[in-house]
Amino acid sequence: MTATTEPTATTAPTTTPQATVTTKTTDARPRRRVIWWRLVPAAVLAVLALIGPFITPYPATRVSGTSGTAPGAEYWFGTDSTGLDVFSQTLAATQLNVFIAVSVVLLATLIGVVLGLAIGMNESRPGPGGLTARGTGRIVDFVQAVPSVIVGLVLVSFFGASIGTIVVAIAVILAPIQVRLVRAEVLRVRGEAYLDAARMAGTSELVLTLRHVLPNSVRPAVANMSVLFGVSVILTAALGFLGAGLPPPTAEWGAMIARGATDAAVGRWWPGAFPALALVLAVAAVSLAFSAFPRAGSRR
Amino acid sequence: MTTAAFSGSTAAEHGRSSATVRTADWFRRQRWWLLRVIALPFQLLLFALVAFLLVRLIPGDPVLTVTGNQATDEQYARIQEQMGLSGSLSDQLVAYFAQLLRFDLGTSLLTQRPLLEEFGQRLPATLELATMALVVSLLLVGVAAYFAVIRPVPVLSAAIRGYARAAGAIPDFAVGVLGIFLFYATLHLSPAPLGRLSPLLSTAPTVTGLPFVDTLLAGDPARTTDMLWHLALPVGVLVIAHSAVVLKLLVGQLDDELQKPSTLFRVSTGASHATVALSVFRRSLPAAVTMAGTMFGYLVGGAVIVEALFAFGGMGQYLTEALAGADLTAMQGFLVAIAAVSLVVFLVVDIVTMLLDPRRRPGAQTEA
Amino acid sequence: MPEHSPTTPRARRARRTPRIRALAALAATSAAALLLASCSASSDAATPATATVIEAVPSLPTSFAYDDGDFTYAGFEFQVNTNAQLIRNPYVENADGDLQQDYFSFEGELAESYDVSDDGLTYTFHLREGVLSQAGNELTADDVLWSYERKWNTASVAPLLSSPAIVDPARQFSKIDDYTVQITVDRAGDGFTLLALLANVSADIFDSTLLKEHESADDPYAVAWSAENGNYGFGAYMLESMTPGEELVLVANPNYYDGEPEVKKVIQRVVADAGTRTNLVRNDDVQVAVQLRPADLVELEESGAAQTFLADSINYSTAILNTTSGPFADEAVRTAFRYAMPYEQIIEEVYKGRAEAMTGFINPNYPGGTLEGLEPGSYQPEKAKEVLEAAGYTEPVPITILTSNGVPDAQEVAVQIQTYAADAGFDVSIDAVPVATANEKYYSKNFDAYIQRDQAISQSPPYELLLSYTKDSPLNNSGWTSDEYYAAVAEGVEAGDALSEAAGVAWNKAQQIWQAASPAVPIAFIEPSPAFSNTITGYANRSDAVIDFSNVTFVE
Repeated sequence: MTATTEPTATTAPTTTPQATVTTKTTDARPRRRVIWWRLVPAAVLAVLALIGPFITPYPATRVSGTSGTAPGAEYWFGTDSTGLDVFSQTLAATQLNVFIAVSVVLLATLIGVVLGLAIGMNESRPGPGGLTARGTGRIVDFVQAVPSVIVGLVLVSFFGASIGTIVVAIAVILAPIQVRLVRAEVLRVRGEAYLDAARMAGTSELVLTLRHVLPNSVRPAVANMSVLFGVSVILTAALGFLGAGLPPPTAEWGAMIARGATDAAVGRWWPGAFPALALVLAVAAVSLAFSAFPRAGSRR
Repeated sequence: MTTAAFSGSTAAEHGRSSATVRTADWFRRQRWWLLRVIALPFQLLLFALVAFLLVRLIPGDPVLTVTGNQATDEQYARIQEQMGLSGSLSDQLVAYFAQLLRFDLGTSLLTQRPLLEEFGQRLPATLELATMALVVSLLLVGVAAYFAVIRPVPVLSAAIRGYARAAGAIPDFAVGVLGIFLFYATLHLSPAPLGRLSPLLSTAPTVTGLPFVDTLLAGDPARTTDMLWHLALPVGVLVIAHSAVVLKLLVGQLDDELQKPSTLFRVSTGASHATVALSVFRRSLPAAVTMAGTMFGYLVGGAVIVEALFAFGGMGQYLTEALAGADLTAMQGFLVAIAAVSLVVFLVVDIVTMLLDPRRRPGAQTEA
Repeated sequence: MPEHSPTTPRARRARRTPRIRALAALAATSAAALLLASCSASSDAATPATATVIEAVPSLPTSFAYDDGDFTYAGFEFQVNTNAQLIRNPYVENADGDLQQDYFSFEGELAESYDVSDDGLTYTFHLREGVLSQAGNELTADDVLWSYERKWNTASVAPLLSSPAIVDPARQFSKIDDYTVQITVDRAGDGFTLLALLANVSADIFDSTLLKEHESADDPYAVAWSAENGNYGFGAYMLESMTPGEELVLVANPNYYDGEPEVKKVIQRVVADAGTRTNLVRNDDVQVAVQLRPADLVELEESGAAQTFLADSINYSTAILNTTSGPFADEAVRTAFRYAMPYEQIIEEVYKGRAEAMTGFINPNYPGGTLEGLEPGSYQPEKAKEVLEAAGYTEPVPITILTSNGVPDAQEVAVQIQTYAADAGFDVSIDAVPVATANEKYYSKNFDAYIQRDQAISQSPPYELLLSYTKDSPLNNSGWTSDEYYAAVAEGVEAGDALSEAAGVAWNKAQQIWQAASPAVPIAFIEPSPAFSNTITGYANRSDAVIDFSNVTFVE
């Protein structure tokens, strides 16, 4: 399925849709302030992720009513085909889904920074170091070339469906995006004059990398984390949909949507629709939160 | 647009015969795509190696997972052999590559048929579906970008930009379920999700393996219409779920190009709207082509899900069965096959972008 | 275009016709004419040209030969429709007005009739003359003998299922003449079991003339050949084509002994999702949908959009307990689990009332049988806790329930158990895995409890009692063995007639021994899960649970 959306940042860092809503505006100066209200939905999401499983009206993983009950006063989002309360499940799932997505984003970004720095700093060198860097760069490109949902499916089928496997599988799939972003920035930063100055002052290459290149080349990757968050939430759900997800009664949106899809086909829309809505809202909340911060202008 | 590669002739070369020089010269000029093509099989082998290592990383005994404890020693040995897991690691690797070089991906544990044959029957249908979605999507993206950027229509433009912003956040399986719920179950506008053809229509004879192309070739309008009718919703689902990515990129690029001095200059010289639009589109094209290549990958992944929803027998249905049957050889083979497809698509994309924009050729001085 | 004129699109429902017309107008004029012609055809498919039934199935057979080991729903349905046996259980109307097999009587199929010797040890089958196979070869006694030779000399599961009634066909089967076969049993008490076996899929009679032509050194009985080719028997249908993962087409066998069936063509289309299958049969886009979910069946029934069926079902949902290791190695824990099972809750919530409570695990309707002294399943959390406490368990007992993704309601049953067994002293976790992984864990006894759908295809008390509990049998997955139990079953067989009251007492005694040990906790008998659209009729509930299309007819 889905989309590693991505390298808008690599190709056109200055032209995110937010920055240029109208084409007539030639004055697209970056904002300087943080827009606080945009952080509110994400804050709510974070709170729900922390306390969600503890404030559900019914135990999320226990049968709590007649199966297939439509939404109403007693069961706000209805019950699913087993009799689990859809509202409680959707709410409790926030924790697991946010946990998986955050872990994936952090892991993918970590891999991205390490590999991106290593490749970017070494790829134009002669000798085995440069060769390895270029080789790794190509492998990263290949991994990105293969449809992510298929790689995920194969990985999960090999290593079994557990939270750990899912996190690692999706992180491996998404890491190449971050690697490319970091590498592109490293290539740009590497040529800047102040680095040559530092080199001439005798700073070692490692120190140089960590002190000067690193802080100046992670920005696009960090900005891209909001996209990765959305993609990882959706990939988790897609794996669940294809039968490689977490078993019931685990509260996880993707697995809920997968089970709810069968009900939707016969007209019982609620077991699938509400977790799908939650998923979309969560992705939107995180995306909005990232847009609250001022963007770095182009340094070109 | 001079390239570094061109300036590299050395003194030694002047001494050679002119034919050699010509050949060498030709090669140097064509190097950018030749190298890329030559590299392909090696990239593929590298991928195959990754798939090989992945299977060996599986915790526990994969043979036991497949056979269960019930297997006799003889059965165990047979499955082990079939999975390529007998002998030492180096033996396994040699045997695996020898097999691959014969274009043999192994045998499915579930159906006991050669994987190449199985994929040959199913993969073309999946790729055809993804290609159809790609074509429709690119056409729509072009039109949408035009109305969002070049000639903005008030409400439409905002809607298109809003949609583009959702790039990567639209789950195709949810769109598919919703589509069937809405158009088949509720409104009865769409035909039953029962495959590509109404059950009582016979399938066209296989010529290319691509279901729609075969149907067209059979030259039967009723069958062609029926298939188009069945394809409308699945292709629509793929287009809605995956177009935002390319649209977002193209809109961004166009916005960028519109504000470039060269465009502003052209506008100030009084060039026609069409000329400006065309030149802006042309300059945004290489990036969009790259993106279209990536999108094809997403569409193949999406096609797998859509096939399962609409009862199209393609790779989607095969993968689901392989997953349920713990068919590890099929999974491994599929990873290699799909990598091959993806690499070929990337090759084509690279060559097309390099044709469109020579600056992108290796050795050329890149701008950014 | 003669190629598809007999298969012009079925007329769609009226409300979709305008769209079709609009589309047709876009197409070339000839196409438009063709489409409009088909659209205006009447919607019932009773016309000979469209005597076709479309069936939505979750999957297709992985092999065309039972001896090759395809035990899926699709595999059974293929065998039942393309093969035939010597005898069969007749279809009779049940109390609910639906058809089902009468498991306690037999009628001739490929055999016209059979006689039993006075001592009950020799059965003589008189074959019909002039019965042709799908390939056109005539049925003879040699086909019967050769078929059993093949079953016993290949990897077929038939010997395992047929013991002890049939242990050595070479000794027990003999040819009297071309149209007469004699089969002996060692004990008269095995006679009923023999008949029950002969009436079902493991006793399919093959076209030996055809198969012998395809024998090879690697494939001495052409099992591999028949697995790939089909059409090697005497059934009502023959395989026309299969597109793996998509479609399988059966056509009526013109040589069928009972005359060509009314449904000339059966098109199976793979629709993985049960909800979508329900929807298709509701809209008459398919005429048969199988393996539907109980909740969906109830909805179809209530709306009258399609037909659903009831039967004295023999298909049941059960929890197999691993008695060899883990928590259920302790008999007290198994007994407590029997009281911790929320039977009524599962019948109401998972099966939506389309299930019946069970007492014991064999068919309760055997003539001469009795359920006296057996406890019916009932949820008693307090009693469960008492049993656990008495056995020294003070903390909730942790157990894992294994479910296969291939058994659609298993996960829902497991979630119900998880919820309600928590109040009965159990801490349940659920391990839901793909089919193959589930089988691997189950057969290697790497599980605590496994939720399964089970049924004995051959309905005979000693057969049912021993099938899953024979010592050292690969089918004994609970690992439970009991000499006392085997003695009780032997007692019943000694009684001579398996359906006599004397035998019934012995079967009851065996079930009481079994219940005290609780190697499995049967949950409920489940009603049939197929649905028919209102345009066809003739569903009959069978011991193999599949659709026999030769009995299906169109409603005028």
